[in-house]
Amino acid sequence: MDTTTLERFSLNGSEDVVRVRLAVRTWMRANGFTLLQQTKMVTATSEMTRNCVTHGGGGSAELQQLRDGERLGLRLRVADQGPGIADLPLALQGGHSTTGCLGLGLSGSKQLVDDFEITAEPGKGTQVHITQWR
Amino acid sequence: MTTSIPIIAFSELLLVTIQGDVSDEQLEALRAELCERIQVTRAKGVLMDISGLTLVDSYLSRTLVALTTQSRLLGATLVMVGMRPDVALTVVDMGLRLEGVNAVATLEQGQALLRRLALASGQEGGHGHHNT
Ligand SMILES: Nc1ncnc2c1ncn2[C@@H]1O[C@H](COP(=O)(O)OP(=O)(O)OP(=O)(O)O)[C@@H](O)[C@H]1O
Ligand SMILES: [Mg+2]
Repeated sequence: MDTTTLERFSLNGSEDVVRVRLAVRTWMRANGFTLLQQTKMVTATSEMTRNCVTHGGGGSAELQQLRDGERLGLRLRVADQGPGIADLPLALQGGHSTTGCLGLGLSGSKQLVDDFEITAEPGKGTQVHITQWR
Repeated sequence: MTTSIPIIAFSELLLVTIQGDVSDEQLEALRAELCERIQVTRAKGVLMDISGLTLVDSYLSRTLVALTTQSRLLGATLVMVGMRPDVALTVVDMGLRLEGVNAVATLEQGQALLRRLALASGQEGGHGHHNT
């Protein structure tokens, strides 16, 4: 599988969340993804980048183009050096938030993309990879 | 860089149009602005056109519920108009519920719904139906 970096972002505030969302939308539209694939990926992107800003104290994101034979994919990697997540299974279950929100960002995003990976060891920050294939 | 989301008053209603990709700040500003406009105009209904809105994530879904509730508390009914099919599918797949949010497909349906609700609650909709 070929991986090409498309763009890097630093994530510090909500305007960065918008920038990454727009980059994802633009690239997917230009590369023939369906509207539904675009909207699902953009929505998951919004959740993961906002979590990075609000829970992780900010961090960075990278967009990658994936090519696997005929298949084309887009991967977003989001990383921060924040507190990590003490009870990851609980956070992924949905309906649990440490900020009094709905707590559907992680569980919901997992349903929207083809591939969802997260590591969030306490003290080692949080790393999320989400991928959508065309 | 923050452009505000427009609120237009017409025939005793407020029309809010949300277009494209909106930031958290724009939505926060809209919440405050809409409260004020409902209070000043005494509008009984708010039509919120989201046919141009390209995503509803958990933050936006919270905002839509908040806008609905705050409008109700101020005496106005908010109706969301024209959610895109891809957005609706995404909202459902995420498990977001948008509880209590009124939704219709077109502005005409929104106006009809608001008229019905006004009649049902015995409110006077003003003198004439069409003031231009
Ligand atoms: N990058 C992160 N760093 C630290 N903790 C995180 C991070 N992302 C998520 N979490 C933790 O996982 C919980 C669940 O995250 P999730 O996105 O599902 O919900 P939320 O952000 O609290 O609310 P919502 O996304 O519905 O607005 C958060 O409340 C937070 O405690
Ligand atoms: Mg979240």
